[in-house]
Amino acid sequence: MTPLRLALADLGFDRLRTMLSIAGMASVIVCAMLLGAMAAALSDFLAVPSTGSNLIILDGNYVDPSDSTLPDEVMRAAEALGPQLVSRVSPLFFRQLRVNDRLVQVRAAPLADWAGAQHLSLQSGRWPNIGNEVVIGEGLADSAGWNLGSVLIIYGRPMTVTGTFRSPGVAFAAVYMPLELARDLFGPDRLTQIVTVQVALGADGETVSARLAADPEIAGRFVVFYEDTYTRRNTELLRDLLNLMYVGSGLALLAVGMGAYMASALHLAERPRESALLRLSGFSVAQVSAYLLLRTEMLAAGAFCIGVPLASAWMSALYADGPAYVFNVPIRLTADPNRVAIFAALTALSAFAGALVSTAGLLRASVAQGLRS
Amino acid sequence: MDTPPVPRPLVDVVPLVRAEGLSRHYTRGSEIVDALADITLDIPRGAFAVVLGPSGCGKSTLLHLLGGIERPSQGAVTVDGVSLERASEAELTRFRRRSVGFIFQFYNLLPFISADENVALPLLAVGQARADALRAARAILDQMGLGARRGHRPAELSGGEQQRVAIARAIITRPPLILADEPTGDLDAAGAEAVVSMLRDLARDGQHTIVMATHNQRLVQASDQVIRLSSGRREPR
Repeated sequence: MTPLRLALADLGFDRLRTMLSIAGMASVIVCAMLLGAMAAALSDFLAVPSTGSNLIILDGNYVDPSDSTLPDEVMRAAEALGPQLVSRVSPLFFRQLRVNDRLVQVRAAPLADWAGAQHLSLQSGRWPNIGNEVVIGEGLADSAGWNLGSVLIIYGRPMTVTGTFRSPGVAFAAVYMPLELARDLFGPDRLTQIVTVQVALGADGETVSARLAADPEIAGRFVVFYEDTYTRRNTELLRDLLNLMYVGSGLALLAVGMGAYMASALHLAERPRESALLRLSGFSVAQVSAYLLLRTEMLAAGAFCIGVPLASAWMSALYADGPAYVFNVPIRLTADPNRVAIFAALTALSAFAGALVSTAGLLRASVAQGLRS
Repeated sequence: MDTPPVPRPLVDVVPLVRAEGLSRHYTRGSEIVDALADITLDIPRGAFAVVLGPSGCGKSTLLHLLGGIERPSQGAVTVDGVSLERASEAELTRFRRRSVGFIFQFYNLLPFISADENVALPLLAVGQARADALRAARAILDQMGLGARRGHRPAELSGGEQQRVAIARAIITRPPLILADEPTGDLDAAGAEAVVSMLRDLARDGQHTIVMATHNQRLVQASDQVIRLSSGRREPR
């Protein structure tokens, strides 16, 4: 009788115990799959394209940039560096507003800067003309269910959505309007919260940053960042969440190993006599270990075969009506085949390790000890 | 005229089982318990030996040491030419496959496989093809009158039937030594008589040496050799 046949007979004999073991491990696999999928979705989002050596200037005294105001002298100081160092200086208006009963980030910048300094790329529709027209980030379009032609009430005025855009960083969940429209809507004062400085091609970003930071109009009150650094700072919470999900996913996989260990250890603790009897009948320790390892791997395989479809079905059901949102980040979970394959390998490996640890004692115990148990 | 004596063949001179100064101690907390102390014995091939003594006198321990499933604390034991006290785990596995079969009071059959698969286990352990092993197992079960029960699991068999399955498993590889530990302890009188008769027949055909542990004095009459134990020590004959 091969170890495989023994393992099959053993698992088939105590079906209730087998099903309970499989169900226990399958639930952990479902958790691992969901956490892994969530981590992968967040990771994809955070892998934003670089905004190069763009610099931003903002008031360092405020946590929320929408509370600050940058005077025109700041923009002029940046422009004064000249075209050899700076190719574009762009003011950015920034407010958190209630729009159609949702808390939304509303941004405004000169229309000419949207594609360049602000890194917006049109995904659908068109850029607004001067008038009551705005574009929305694709994340916001997904989460709020707003489309081209939707009417948004912004600061009491109806605005029509003419397009959706994609953007690195967190702007994907924002409404963008031309600066002229913002000036008309909010008044001419306090319209600049952030100044974006596009470093000229061939110029050294560090030099420009140092020159700006040392400028008497800026030094002491305003701070200069690389835009990438600022984006990373703003998405730090998401990165922490991502790391947490990776840890959770890893722990869940570890739990699969522990489950396998427990299943094998319990089997050995409850029925050491059977292992001893096999050795008594002429089976070597290696053969008995192989039988116990196969038995555990079969439990893990059964759990995986149940857990993966269950996790996939759960993901499909969760997102039947569109993606979920974590801090306004659209999260759409999928059972990616590559990830499933990696999980399969890790599950098999953790089950093997768990079973190996629990059967290691078998090598030390004598047959008589097993029979006496 | 006197004819010169014919020398006895070596197989008769060298006993199948030889133990010298065999001891086994256990540690129970800080206390050392002597389960078996200074046992010396020889059992020739083809003998039907009975290890006699009350419960707890060390009968099972002696059988474990003779069967290579436990190592002695002291002394030497040689069975079928193998020095068990020095054998590695791999050598002990080979020894169990080739030289010894076990029968227990409570049968010790694997509950999740059928009677014929239980009997076939020793053949399957050495890599014999499943079909051949099962064929051999069914032949023995037929001889023992269990042909109709071969597909049943142990829980579906009576005590006597399970013990016959266990005997079939012990002899299927035709090992020279069969160790039986209280094999009649869980059977009624008729079942016990049948088992003893079966073991006696196995010894009689010369291919097997039987060492049977029991506390039943009546079985002494059926034996060729009696080893009496008391408190882990061998009593004088």
